[in-house]
Amino acid sequence: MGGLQILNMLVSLGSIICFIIVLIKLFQNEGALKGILGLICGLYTFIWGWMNATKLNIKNIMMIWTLLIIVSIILGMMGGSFMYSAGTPVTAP
Amino acid sequence: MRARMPTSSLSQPIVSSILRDRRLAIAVSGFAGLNLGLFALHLPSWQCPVLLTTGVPCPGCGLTRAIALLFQGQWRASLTMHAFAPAVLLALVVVLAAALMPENYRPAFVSSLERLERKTAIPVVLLAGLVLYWLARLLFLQSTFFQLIRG
Repeated sequence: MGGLQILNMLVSLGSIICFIIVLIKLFQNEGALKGILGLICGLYTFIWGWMNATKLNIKNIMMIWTLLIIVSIILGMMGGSFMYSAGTPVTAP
Repeated sequence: MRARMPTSSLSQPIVSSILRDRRLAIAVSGFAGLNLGLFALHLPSWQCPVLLTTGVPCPGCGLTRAIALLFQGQWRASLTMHAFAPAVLLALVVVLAAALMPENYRPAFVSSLERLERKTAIPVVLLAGLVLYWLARLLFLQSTFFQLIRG
């Protein structure tokens, strides 16, 4: 496994941790239905997180998540993004 | 002032509550449009954190590509990629319309949509359908599903 892949794996891991934290906040604040919507559509969770970042005091998490997304896109452009499990190139959702 | 209807968790409005907040509606439709545009131009776009980390597609995986295929007129390919693409596209069109609508028309539009959502419980039906569809693909068509999503 190359350095780029390890880095990508760490970025993905960090990204999903941020996603889960914001998703929990979404479930707590907006109820089960919107929570499920957030689970299905990560982009919605991301937007909702930023819109409520100050109110819920999750600005730092959102900044880290955004940074990780940008890094993930840059890594993807550099050498194609890889899923840690099989090294399969990832395409858009 | 009009009294709010009693809230039942099963008839909770989703789309209309997004539309109530104009900034959220603009952000959702804007990001969705940007994501579709980036994908159409073969540029790196939003990647599903679940798929990226676990390798398992989430219930929404494939929707961007399915909607892009709809725009290209490839109905069959689109529905094979994700059967919920037309419903999601319709929801996005509604969100975009409400985001761009003049402020004096918007409350009436959002209220009628909210009534429709409460009456028909359409958000629950769609979300439950989406999860069941995902489970069925995961359990019975796993290899085809994974192959389709991973490209």
